[in-house]
Amino acid sequence: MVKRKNDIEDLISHILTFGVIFSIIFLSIGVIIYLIQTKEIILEENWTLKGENLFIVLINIFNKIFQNNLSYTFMAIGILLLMLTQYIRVIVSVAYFSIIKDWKYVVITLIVFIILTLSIIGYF
Amino acid sequence: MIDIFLIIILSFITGLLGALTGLGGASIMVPLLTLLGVPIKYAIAAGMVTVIATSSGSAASYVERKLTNVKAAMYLEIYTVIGAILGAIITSFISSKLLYFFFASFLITSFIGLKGHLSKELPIVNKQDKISKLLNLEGSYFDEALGKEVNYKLTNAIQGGLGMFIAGLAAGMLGIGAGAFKVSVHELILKMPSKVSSTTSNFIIGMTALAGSTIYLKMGLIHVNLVAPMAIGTTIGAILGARILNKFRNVTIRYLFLAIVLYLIIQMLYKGMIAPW
Repeated sequence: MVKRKNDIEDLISHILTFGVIFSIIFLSIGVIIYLIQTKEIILEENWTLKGENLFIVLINIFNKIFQNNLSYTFMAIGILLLMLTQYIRVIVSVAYFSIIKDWKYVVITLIVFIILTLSIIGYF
Repeated sequence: MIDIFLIIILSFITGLLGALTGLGGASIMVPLLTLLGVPIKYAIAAGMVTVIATSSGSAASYVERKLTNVKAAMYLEIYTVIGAILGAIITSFISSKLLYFFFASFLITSFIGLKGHLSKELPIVNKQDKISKLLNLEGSYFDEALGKEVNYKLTNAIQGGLGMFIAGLAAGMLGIGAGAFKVSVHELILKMPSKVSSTTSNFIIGMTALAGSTIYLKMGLIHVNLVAPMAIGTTIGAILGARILNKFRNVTIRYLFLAIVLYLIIQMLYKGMIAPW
């Protein structure tokens, strides 16, 4: 397969578009369910994302899916989708530059990937 | 108690105005939230996550139109990501009182920036520095106004990187995109053409915001019921704003925005003064 110069642009554009659309759908469903219960925003701890890092938060959401308010589950997934979209964007970039053997940019995207991964797993 | 509809409407308006004026929605929304009674650290955390949504939403179309310099963005992200992580850690630990003053200072620089204009001419780089050359920091795009393909080269890679570190630090600390600052670094230091600089900055903002958000997530500062209405309102506002941007060059909007920023500067200074240490 012949690679076009701008493949990376198209790929990233699609990732971002799908990520945002799915995220906004989840957030909107969450807000609609929330509105059925109340229209006031109460800033209490049970409405925060809970966990030492992004992956633990994700596991907690699914483990407590029946205990948590349904609107919480939808809104929390929507937010994590937003964050994961950008993370996937970096992973795809590393893979892309590896495929086209642009080693300088493999290194650059890997540095970004490593720093972000450390931050996502709660190292900092 | 804050009404969820109020947040959606305010976010929509700030997202729209943010896209029209180039100052992101979050830099207006975060101080507005504090005026509604939201503790500033919660407002900053919510702003940071919202910025990911607006950046991803608008970046998608710009990247596809090849206006974004993806390679330069990835190089500069190294610096902004480190800056944002550090900034978010600082915010998690320092007194809220200081944050009000930092926000006021940021708004003052934006106020001055909004009044002035950056050069619209195409920069010409005759000699690239070694690192810019090594990293192939160059590109081309089709300029509709000029009706031709424009080739450009970037320079001052290290200085530009350090500028982006500071932009990332400000973004992480205040829960904003710091887009105007990033654009200045791109144009003044890296010598990027202005059409490329704004879209590249917007692209980088998403990654910077993710880095900052991971810290706020760990600190338990992200409230889903605040972020959700904000992200929905701001993203829809920003996408609509970007669409009508070209048809809508109104000086009145600029003045309106300046007035809002001025009002927020005064409010942030006042809140800073009355806040306990």
